[in-house]
Amino acid sequence: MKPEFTDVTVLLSELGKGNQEAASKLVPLVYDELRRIAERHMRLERPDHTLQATALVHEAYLKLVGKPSKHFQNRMHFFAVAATVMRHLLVDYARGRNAEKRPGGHQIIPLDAAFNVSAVLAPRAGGELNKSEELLKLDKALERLSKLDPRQVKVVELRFFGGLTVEETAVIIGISSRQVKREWSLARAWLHGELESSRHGDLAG
Amino acid sequence: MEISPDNWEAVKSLFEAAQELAPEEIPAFLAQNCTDSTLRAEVERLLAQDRKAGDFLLAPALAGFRLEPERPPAQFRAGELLAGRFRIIRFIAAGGMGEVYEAEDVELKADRAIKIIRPEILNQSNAVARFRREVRLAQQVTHPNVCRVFDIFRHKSEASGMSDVWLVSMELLHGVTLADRLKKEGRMSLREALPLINQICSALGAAHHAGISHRDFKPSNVILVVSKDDASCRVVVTDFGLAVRSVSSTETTSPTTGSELFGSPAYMAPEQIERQVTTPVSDIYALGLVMYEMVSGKRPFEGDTPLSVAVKRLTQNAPSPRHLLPQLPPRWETVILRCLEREPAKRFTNVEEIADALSGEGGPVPVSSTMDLQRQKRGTESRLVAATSSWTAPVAHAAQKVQNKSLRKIIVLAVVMLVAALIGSGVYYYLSNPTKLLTEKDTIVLADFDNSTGDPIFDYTLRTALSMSLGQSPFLNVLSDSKVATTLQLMTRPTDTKLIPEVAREVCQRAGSTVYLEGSVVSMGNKYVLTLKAVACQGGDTLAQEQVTAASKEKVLQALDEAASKLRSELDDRSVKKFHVPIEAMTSSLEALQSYSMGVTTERETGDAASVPFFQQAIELDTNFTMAYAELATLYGNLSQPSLGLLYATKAYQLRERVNKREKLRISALYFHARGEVDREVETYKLWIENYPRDFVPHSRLGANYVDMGQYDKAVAQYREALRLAPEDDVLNYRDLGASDVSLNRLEEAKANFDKAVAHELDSGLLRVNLYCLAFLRGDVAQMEQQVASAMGGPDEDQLLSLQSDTEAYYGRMSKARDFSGRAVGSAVLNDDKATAALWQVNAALRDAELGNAALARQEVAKALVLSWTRDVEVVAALTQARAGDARAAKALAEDLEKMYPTDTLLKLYWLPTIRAAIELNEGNSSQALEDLKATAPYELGQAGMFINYAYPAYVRGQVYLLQHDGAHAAAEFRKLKDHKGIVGNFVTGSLARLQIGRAYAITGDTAASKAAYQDFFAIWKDADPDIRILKEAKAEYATRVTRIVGINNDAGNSGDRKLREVINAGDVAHAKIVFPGKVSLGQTTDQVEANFGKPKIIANLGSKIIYVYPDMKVTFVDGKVIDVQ
Repeated sequence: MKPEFTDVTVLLSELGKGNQEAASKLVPLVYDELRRIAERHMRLERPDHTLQATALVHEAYLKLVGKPSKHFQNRMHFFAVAATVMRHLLVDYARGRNAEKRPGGHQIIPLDAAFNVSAVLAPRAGGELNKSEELLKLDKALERLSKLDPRQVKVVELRFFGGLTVEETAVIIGISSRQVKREWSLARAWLHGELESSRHGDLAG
Repeated sequence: MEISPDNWEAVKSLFEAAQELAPEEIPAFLAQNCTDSTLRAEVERLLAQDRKAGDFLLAPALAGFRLEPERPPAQFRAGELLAGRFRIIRFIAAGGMGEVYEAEDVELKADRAIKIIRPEILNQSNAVARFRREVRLAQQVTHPNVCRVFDIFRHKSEASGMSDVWLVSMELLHGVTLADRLKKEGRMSLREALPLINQICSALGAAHHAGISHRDFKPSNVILVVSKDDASCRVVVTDFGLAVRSVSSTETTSPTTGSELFGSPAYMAPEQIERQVTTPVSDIYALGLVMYEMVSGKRPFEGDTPLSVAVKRLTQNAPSPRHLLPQLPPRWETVILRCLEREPAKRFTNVEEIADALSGEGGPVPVSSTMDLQRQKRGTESRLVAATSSWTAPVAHAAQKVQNKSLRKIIVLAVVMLVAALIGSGVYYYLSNPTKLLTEKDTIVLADFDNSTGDPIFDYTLRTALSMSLGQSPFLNVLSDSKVATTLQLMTRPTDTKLIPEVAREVCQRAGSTVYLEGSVVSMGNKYVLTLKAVACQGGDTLAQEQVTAASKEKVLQALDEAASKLRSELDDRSVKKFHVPIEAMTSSLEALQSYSMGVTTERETGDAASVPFFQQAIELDTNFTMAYAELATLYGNLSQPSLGLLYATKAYQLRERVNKREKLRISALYFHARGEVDREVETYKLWIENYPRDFVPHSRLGANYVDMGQYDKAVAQYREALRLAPEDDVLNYRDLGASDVSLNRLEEAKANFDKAVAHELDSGLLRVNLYCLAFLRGDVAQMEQQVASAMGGPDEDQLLSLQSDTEAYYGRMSKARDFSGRAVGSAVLNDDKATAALWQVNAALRDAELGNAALARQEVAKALVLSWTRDVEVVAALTQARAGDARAAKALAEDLEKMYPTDTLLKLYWLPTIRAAIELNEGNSSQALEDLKATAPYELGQAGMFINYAYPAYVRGQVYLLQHDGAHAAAEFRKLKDHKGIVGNFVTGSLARLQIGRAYAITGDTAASKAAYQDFFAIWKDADPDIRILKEAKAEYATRVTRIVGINNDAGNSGDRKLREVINAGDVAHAKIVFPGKVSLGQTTDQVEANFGKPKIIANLGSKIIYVYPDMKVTFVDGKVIDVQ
């Protein structure tokens, strides 16, 4: 376990220096850790317990970096990576779920533990399958948005997947809170539009 | 319709601009600014989506996630024998801590519930020992309503490579949990609930008396046991004290620290949510929630996410259960709501009171019984239940700030007071005996005890106990732990080096001490022999030696006390008779003393937050351990948890007779400080000084009191005295002395003292704020920038960011100011310090209110109060609401403050009157406002217990005088802010005061002074954002009230008028020929106005109303008297 700590610390400070390769090395580490933590909680907790993204991320951070660091530059980089990872994790899970329900579908790293996807995604859409599908659609829409505006995708990842506040997001991206709010508001409108039209598309098809 | 990255920016800026507009303005805006139809359609589509989006994505992805547990296969099968003693009968459940089985104790032939402890819980260092201690504590509680815990066992795993398994044997209970009962049958009748609650209270009471808090009390931990005679129901509470504590006292670096949020937040008390602190009173909160649920069937706080529920619990009072159940007797309502008070201090202090309060309930129970317990018992199949609740992971708090966030307020109490009082630094040795062993300058070093008993309990405890005992003498002078640590560093040794005699001797020599004391403890059968020896560090002669024998382990402390007293006498300490409280009176528990010692060490090595669990444990082990309560009080004060600080200070104060005189004085001061009774605090320090004239601590604390009260000269005298007594021991005194110099505008002296602090190796981080403020006053921008830059990424980053935001606001650069405040808030949030984040937020709000941005100010207040609701935040929030014109909100907050902090002198005499005066000012009641402000007069330039000083009473009073058109008095008030730059610092009222002075002199007719003040203000605000309301007002006033251009009517005409106005607006009036008119006051006649201003351009005669229109002013008369000037 211990050597991992240093690795992650080194990777984070590399990332701080702008070495993007470090990010690609961090992602699988963080992914595994988050999944482990989620699974552990899954086994130990009872149904009336709910998860909170920031708490998961904090826990992963402590696991990987070893102790609460005063260098919160590192912590900020970690949050940024973790939010992206959280997105992948949930999407993979949603895929896994859907694959199970569709014979012949391919199985992709299912998160063993069972999640219900946030009710907020599709408040009136009903069952769990729909929610998973909504999540996949959101992911695809984010991919499209990244071609138009990568920064907005980052804002959505931090806010929605990472569970961070406007202020925290501002600190991590290095823009003002006001700018975050603007980006967030447009991204939300744009994504809402995408999901809405895909829903209509489904009906038509 | 191709939207590509190329035109996306255009879409973005149009979308953003349109969002600022009212819906009906948008079509016109787009028509005008967007000719490309594709773009326009896209923007319109997005605006429509924005309106439809509702709460889309607003809750974080995981917010609604529910966990669906997969039951892992049980680890053990029926028939397996664990620990050679327990035969598994069947698997019952998987709880948070691990699996629970029904088993037979084959040795005792008894039924047992067996809890397997998860290896994750135990694979931390010390965890097993700690866990054993927990179990041992729990064993002691034998009460019919408490689930018995029998013992802890190790099961050696047969499979190779598998680690051993630990298990706890417990009472096996047959019944249903209260949670199941409520889920199945809904709420209970009072008749049904009352006996259950009584039994629960009885269980909690028994545990609390044994020093155990439950920590995770909830319906699933309450088991309703079906008894054979079917007549009554036995209630058993399970999992006492095991919830958090099993691992909570491990290092802060515990890898599962983040997981506190996975507990069962549904029943956590606000203080548990906020800072993971648990006391018996937290159990009372949980009991309140459970009672609420029992009688109403609902929880008082509901929400979509645990976080939202938690936030509600932190910020809102529980709604009355009578909303759900109108027939609920008031007595029940009162009891439940009192349990649910947000402030621990306002709840019942013990569970017995709850049972008593409810049992007064008589007469018929007016609630229809939904289902009595009899029926329920028949209807519900009983099943085996054992305690299965989650044993949540540890909660040691990670983020600590070494530095107290208060700007200049408080020296780090814990460090100073603890070191001084416990170890007795600053104590002198005084001796008239001609055969002087020691002189008053000599100090003593305490070595660690040589413990050859093999029992680690003696490792640190005996040294701590010895220093407690020696510390009460006003004559002996023990080298403080912090000095020992510094000396070790000089010796290039780690600060936690064990002080074996050789090391102690070297420390003694290096630190210039004279004597070191070495001690040893050996066991001989059941007996223990203690030896104390005083050795001269030069030469190594033994000066005195004592040996005592303790008949048993329990008698060791008593024996040590005996030896210490004898040693004191041998060292010619003649105070033994007068100052002797035996160690065992302070605490008789070696275990408690051990936790206490570890707490002291942790506090010094790691920080405040990390040491809390140790002191918590100390008071759980010895519920009368006064000094541990006092430590907790101090720590919580430092950790921005004043209400908990008060709780523990009160407890320590109640138990103060158990400690020695110095401790008693320290604790009294702590208690008065926590209650805000500044007068009594001052008296206590004076008494302390009288009894212990060589202690520096009361002097530096007294200094802080005087700063609060605005008596900076007295503060300086006290800090100087503290430094004279202990120039080396507490370099913070240099800083505080320098800070007082700043307040007195003595910038050179301040700099000299800050330099001394640095020279004495005070961490520059602790000085950064002071250096920044000094640089501001000296106009040294480079130095300010350097201080901010050096703080970035460090623990006090947020503080410097907020300071910088104040500077920006001081110069009217509000958008920058808000940006810095936002970063300060974000930084504090990321440091998990919400209380401080809220302070920065509310500070920004107050500034916005001062600048006339009322709506924004109110929003910012709301944001701050969501973050935290401490006294300081609430005070500034109330003031902001008052300044922003929201009298209702301001009054409500002020009333709340008055209720919450009834004893707080400065709140009563400084802040509340200022807030009330601000409200009256808005409502035009100037004489009432002046009346309110009278109370503040003695303290009005003081710090008033707040994180920053704004000299607010003077500022508000000045505005009241302006309202009364009393220019002379107004000017005098505002001049106070200008003259005391060192006090007002970089807060925006400092620059606004210039403008107000200009306004004041405009009224008195002193045109030259008025002009100068306006220009002073414009000069400071030369780079200000142009759209600030108060700046626009100031410019307009300057043009109308202050400057009049002769000849405006006769030579330049309209174009000249315009040109002159441009000159005026540019603030460049030197080029215009200027006269300063007298004032236009309400009630003046047309003649008086014409005498000052000449004939108006237009006279509108509307019957009784006449309007004079001047180029820059409109005066309205009714019945010949001025009623309005615009």
